[in-house]
Amino acid sequence: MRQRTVRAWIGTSCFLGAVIIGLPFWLPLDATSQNLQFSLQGPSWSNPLGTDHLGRDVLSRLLQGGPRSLGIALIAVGTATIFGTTIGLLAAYAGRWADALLMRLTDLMLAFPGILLVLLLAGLLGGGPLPLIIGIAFSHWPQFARLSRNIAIGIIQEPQVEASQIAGLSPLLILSRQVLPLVLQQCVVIAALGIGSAIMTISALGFLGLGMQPPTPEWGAMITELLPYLDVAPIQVAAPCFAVFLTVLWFTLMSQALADQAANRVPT
Amino acid sequence: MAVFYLIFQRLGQAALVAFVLATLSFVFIQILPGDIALRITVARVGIDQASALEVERIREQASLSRPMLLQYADWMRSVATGNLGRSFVSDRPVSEELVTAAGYTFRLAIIAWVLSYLIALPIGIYAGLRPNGFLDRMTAVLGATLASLPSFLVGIGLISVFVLMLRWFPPAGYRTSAHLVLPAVTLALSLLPASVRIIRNAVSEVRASFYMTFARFKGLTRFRAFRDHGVRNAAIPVVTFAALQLAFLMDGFVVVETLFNYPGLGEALVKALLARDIPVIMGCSLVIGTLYAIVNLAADLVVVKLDPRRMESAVL
Amino acid sequence: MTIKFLRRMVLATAASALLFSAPFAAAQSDQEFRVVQAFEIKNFEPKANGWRFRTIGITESLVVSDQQGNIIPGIAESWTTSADGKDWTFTLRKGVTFHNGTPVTAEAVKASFEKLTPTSEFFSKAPIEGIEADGDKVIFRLSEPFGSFLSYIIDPSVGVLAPESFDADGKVVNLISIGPYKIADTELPRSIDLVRHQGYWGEVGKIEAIRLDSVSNPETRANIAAAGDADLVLEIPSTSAKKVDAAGSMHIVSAPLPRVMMLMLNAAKPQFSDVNVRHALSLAIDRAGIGAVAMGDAKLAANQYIPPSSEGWYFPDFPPLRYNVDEAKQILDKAGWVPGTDGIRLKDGVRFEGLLLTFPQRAYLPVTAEALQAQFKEIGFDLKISVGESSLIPEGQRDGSLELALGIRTMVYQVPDPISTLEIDFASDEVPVGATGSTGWKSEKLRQAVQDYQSTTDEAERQPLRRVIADILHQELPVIPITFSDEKWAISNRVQGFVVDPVLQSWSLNKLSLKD
Repeated sequence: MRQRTVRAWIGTSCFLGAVIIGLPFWLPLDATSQNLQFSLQGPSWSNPLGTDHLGRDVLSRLLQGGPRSLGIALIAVGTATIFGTTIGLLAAYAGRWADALLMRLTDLMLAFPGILLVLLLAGLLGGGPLPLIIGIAFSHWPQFARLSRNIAIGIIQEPQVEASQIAGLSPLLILSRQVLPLVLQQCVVIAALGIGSAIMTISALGFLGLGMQPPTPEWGAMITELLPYLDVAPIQVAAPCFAVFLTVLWFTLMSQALADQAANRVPT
Repeated sequence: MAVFYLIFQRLGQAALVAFVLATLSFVFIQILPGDIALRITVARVGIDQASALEVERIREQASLSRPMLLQYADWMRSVATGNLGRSFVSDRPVSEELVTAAGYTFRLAIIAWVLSYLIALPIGIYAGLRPNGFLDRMTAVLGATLASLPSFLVGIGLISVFVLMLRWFPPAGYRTSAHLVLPAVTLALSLLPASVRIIRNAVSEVRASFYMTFARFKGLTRFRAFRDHGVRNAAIPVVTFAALQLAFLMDGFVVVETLFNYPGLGEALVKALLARDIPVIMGCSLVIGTLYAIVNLAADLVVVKLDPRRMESAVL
Repeated sequence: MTIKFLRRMVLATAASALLFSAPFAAAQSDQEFRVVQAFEIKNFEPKANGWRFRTIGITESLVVSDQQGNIIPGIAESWTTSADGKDWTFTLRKGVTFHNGTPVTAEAVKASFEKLTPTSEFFSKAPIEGIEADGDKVIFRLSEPFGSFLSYIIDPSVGVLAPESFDADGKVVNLISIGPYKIADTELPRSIDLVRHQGYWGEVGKIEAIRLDSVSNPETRANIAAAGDADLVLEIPSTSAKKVDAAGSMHIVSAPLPRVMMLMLNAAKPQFSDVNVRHALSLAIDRAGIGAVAMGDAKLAANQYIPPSSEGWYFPDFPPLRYNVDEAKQILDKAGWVPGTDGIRLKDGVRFEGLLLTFPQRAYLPVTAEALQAQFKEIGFDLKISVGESSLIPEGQRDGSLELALGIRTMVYQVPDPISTLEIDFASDEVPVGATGSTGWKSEKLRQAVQDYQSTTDEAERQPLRRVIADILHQELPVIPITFSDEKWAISNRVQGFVVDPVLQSWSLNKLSLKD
């Protein structure tokens, strides 16, 4: 039953992701066309969420900003996962000396406050997606390294793995069949949380004005842009707020479901 | 003793963090496009007031024309002696500015932290003592909701309701205790979901555990059993996490301070980033990074004190 | 053991929390008069902050300006010029004191000018050879006549400071001056406590003590005004004005500023070298729309470069800058710019495009840049935007790499005569460092007119020269004006006497009083 839950989560996420990322190609979304005469109009048939201060369609901007933020989050966390897991597995396999060294390095990175790095990069490189990707990837990879190394070390000492080694199976095979699946299962939990936190970081930087440049639509920046108009255009302000909230909530719940499921599978 | 080794290792880490941050900041500034001296001049005297002569004066003053390696050595040397230079914008010593800011941030952090535990403890303990009950399930839902709201959204919501609609609190400032309430609440709310969950899990585990049953056998009431035997064991993960949360606050206070115009380290950093005030950027990063490492050290020490079995994993 | 440890920790935390909250127990008095402004005052440096000290009313020069920009007596009750225009003699009032009670003597004034002039913004441009103190007179000896001398002496970076304000190196460490309010205490850069100066030569302030706070975020200022948390809040963003008025404890007062938001272009680049093309770009700008959306008022659309509040420099009979996309397209067609397959025009292999630089400190700049992007696309111009440091703009001007920029120019408020900014922006080989002025454009006729203007004080000679200068800017469009700007203040309903000063933006705090 648990397996079905996980598959349900991942399946739905992929479906939704494909839909959202594919939307700009199917629908006639126009996130940049301005119409200064129709600034801050309420919802209507042509503009279901109203227009922003430059007369642009809020719904289109929302739907175009989503894939961008999600894309950045996915790339950043994906990079962190691959890089971190590699380091962690290396540490687990490479012997005590390399293990200690790599783990010291990991600890050092853990001692860095996450948002500080992203802020510094964004502030000094002038905003845009690159500092976000680098900064988020850098602040997340240590968790994956730590986790995968600990799991891998635990598994390697398992009787069935020892048996495989004695039977002469290549280490690579052991790795992919017995170690990797369990490592990845745990990593997915952190990854899901990481994506959620990445989206929060991206929108926080957009809010501070250190995020992406105009006219690029981005949820956090949209909130800052439209906040002065809260009393006359509440829907336009609420829309990106809800977008951020629902997306992060989705990933938070997903990671909880994955965590529950993974807890039942870890060998003791 | 192992404890000293732990302290030594963590302090070394803190120093290393500081070193890396200092170097990183320096490197980034050098690869920035454009003329630093010009930028500083405009930041300092304002757009309407800068002149070419002023730029040259500042270029000389900040010794920006010397070879890079020498500038780096200069910078590292002054950092080591606690001299973080003078702000390019205000010309006051960075350390002076940061000490004031750090004081304000510290105040806010402690109050937010205490507040969050004042709320989290009763809720978490109650939910833990009645797992899967109504309160437990509700707090789980609320917790997930709160955890998905970025702190600036929470802050904006609080301002809209309590400042603009109800007029209970002032929107910005730092002078009176009234000014502290909303920022502290915003930060506390950001810590709540995780701490409530940890407390609840710790309590519910303890509740069902072996030694609790044993205590009940001895004839103690549920309450006394918990107080005498349960708390100690429940406390370990809770306190560990609590110490770590002080560090988590770092993420939150940058946004919250900016939102509420609260003159702490976070606001100083954002302002310096927007104004390219390099000494303050470097100084803030150093202070924040080092404080973060020290708080982590303190957290590790607390863990080890409470449960000496944890020493091994902490040291490795 | 663990329980005791935990108990101790809890007590320690609670104690420290209480300890840290103790300083906050001192509540804000209801009687305190609070002013909130936007600009953080980082230090006492006169060049950077002099204009702020003047608007607050801490410093003053020998003379002051009235709301129309005319020079009227200050601590100097009269002045004369020598026949050759090279000597200016100011006679000081009797009985005036500095903030610390010491008398204002000609010697002290001379010393102050000598120390401050070299690093000043505008006054250093006056060709001063020497300053003398003679009894109650201060005499400035110039090497040649300088018509704008009276205007330039108002330069706030040469506000008169008592000798005790300077340290041994001549650096300003205290602001002991002659204005109606003096500094009682500071918590830089956030707040300054002011107290009225009883020995002020003019109208002594009615309010005894004022707390001045700096809040740089415009939305936060608007919230403070809406919450009624202050008595005077300056620089309210236009988009929040209604909210503040509706809230009820403060009301909004608004006045036009001598400030223009303009599109700068590099006339040396092939896209912009043709004056007709510049006019075409100007015709493509929907100024009313930008005014409405970015500035909150469609009527702020600019019809020429110099704003109407600069009297004598604004000419209502100039043909206004219009909005006509079809006309713009026709001009570009005739000039040989042919639309390509993607809609962007081409000529001689050059694409009709450019990178616009601007900065985020004023909220309306990035918004306007985005609006321009869409409007220029309609006429086949591909505009890219980069919002960043304002200093990148003068850098681009200097090395010729700048294509377009969006900036603002305030005509006055350092000195009352716009000629000062016009000279720096359009008649000088030196690149202005404030993200203003023309790029790659030169007009000998304009330079001559400016020179003629500076060398005379005769109004009959000056007025036609003003027209010549304004006309050249209007015909050639080295920068394209977009909108003017206004300023909004929020005044508490318990305050009366607030006077709006659009020229020098002096707050006239000494004229404020509380209604009973």
